[in-house]
Amino acid sequence: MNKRIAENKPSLLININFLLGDSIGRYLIYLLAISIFILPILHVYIAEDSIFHVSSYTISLLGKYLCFALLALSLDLVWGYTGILSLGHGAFFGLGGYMMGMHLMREIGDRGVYGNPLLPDFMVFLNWEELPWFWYGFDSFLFSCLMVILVPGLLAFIFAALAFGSRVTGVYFSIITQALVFTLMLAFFQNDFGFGGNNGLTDFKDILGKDISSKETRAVFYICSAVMLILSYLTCRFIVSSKIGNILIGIRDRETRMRFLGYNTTVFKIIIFTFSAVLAGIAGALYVPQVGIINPGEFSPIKSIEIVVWVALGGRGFLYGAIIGAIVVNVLKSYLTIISPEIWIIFLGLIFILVTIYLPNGLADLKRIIKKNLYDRR
Amino acid sequence: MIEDKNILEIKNVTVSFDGFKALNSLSLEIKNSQMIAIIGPNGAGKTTLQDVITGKTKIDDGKIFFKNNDLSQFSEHEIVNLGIGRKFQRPTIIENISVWDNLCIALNTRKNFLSCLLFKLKNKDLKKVVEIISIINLEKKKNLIAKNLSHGEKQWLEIGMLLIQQSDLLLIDEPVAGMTEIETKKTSELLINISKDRTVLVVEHDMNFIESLGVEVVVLNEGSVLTRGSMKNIKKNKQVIDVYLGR
Repeated sequence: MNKRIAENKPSLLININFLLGDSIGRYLIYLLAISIFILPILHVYIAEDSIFHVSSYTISLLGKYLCFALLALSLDLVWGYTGILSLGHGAFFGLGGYMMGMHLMREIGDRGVYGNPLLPDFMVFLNWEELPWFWYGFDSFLFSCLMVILVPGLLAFIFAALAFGSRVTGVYFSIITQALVFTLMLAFFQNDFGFGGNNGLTDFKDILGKDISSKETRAVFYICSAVMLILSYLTCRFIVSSKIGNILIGIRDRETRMRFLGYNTTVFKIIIFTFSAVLAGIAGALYVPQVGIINPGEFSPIKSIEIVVWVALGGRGFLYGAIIGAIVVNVLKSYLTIISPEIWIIFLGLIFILVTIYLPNGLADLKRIIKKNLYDRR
Repeated sequence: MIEDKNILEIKNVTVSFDGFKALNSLSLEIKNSQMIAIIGPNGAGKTTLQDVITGKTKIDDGKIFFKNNDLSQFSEHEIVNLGIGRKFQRPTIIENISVWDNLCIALNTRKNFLSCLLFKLKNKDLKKVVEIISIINLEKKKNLIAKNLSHGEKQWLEIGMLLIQQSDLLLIDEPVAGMTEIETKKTSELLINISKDRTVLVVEHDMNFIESLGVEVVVLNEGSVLTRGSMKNIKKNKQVIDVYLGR
């Protein structure tokens, strides 16, 4: 149908990415929407010995994949479309996660090991007398949700304004994003930084008064992750199929041209980077209650690079590619790390090399190759 | 527009890079709706001149006025929106989007984030895009992804993007370098056509091409204006022969 529109009425919507993206993206959304209705029911209402039962392990695992998919989507917007290779998106994911983790810590109340009604366990352990000022307000769920958006968003905004404002681009920008995430990791590893140091935040009990490990809560987490992924996908799709999409591609391919067409490319880059960081933060916030822990490991540089591999594998600049890439790589990771954890990292490197050489547009290329072979055979 | 008013006034502009004076107290006035060709040997300051007009390079001394605005007060994208368009030497278009989309992003609509997000092609804009596409002869290729155009077509598309942006002053750097004879001829017609209602500044090495344009020529040497006049007179000028043509 889109092809017909393209032929008769040229508009900004004709853009190869949008056409390719539309059909697969639509199917992905249908699939997610169906899963929202089916999986939680299979999890909560089907008896555990039935083959149709979805275990709490499975539903949490799937929810986790969706969080990673959202993270990959956010990276694709800045890397695939705008050409800004961020090797530090884990920073925003981790910060979003920590914000949610702080709230969950406050909800433990006096049920911690030390039974202190005011302080989380790790603070009691460090002999702290009172709650540090930056923990104020996290008793409130709404305040915490606001921080999930504001903290990664603000950091990204300041970081982007400084970097893009002084025209730092390309590989130099990538390097300082690595520095950013590495700095955060070192800071959060410190015990006296106030976020639980090396152990991070864990032993969560409740969320909004409901048991965090109950079937119903896990079902709700899954639903929230899927809904958020769908909404974010639609928002990103809306952005890239508006005139902005072409402007972002313009910035990626020929930034000087865009500047000499009268666009303040710096502002566009700052806005997109900040928006992407907010999405990454939300992904982190949804991830933490499902895995039950957040620690400085999330800020390790290798994790941020892994996100890039997901997007590269799925194909950058298609949006749906990032989602597929994130899910495929993480499913493989789940199985391979069970077989042998050492193999995984080698395998990941291998995937990256093979994709770069044979499928420069990731799995999107695979689709083209399959199609071509089918036609040739006829 | 008043015919004889100067659209661009460059007054004693000096730019130095590590002590080397790329522009040396250069002064130049350009009238409205005029086409001027700029020639000069390598290192004469042709590219630097375009860089300072578009705000890419900051000037050390002197002033540039465009439509009575002091350009030192504006940043690159603001200068564009005042009405100065720049065509680079190598075709600089957005390769991965269609010809049509290239022209759409060049339209002189509001260029802030929100306006672009909610942008809808209005009827008058649509007419303008269609009109420009026919001026640059790309009607049949409007839905083609721009990287599939030939070298010459890419150059025309870039000129089209400057036209649709409604610049009053176009800076065009070596438009016919690498073009076939037919393409060169078409380009010359295109430039003559578009200079009817805007000012065009062409930098070019190809003397035959400049002669075919039949416009006033400014000769630059060592960062300042050596002389200006018709091609016929320039060719006879002793100084010009010494520094440029003779070599």
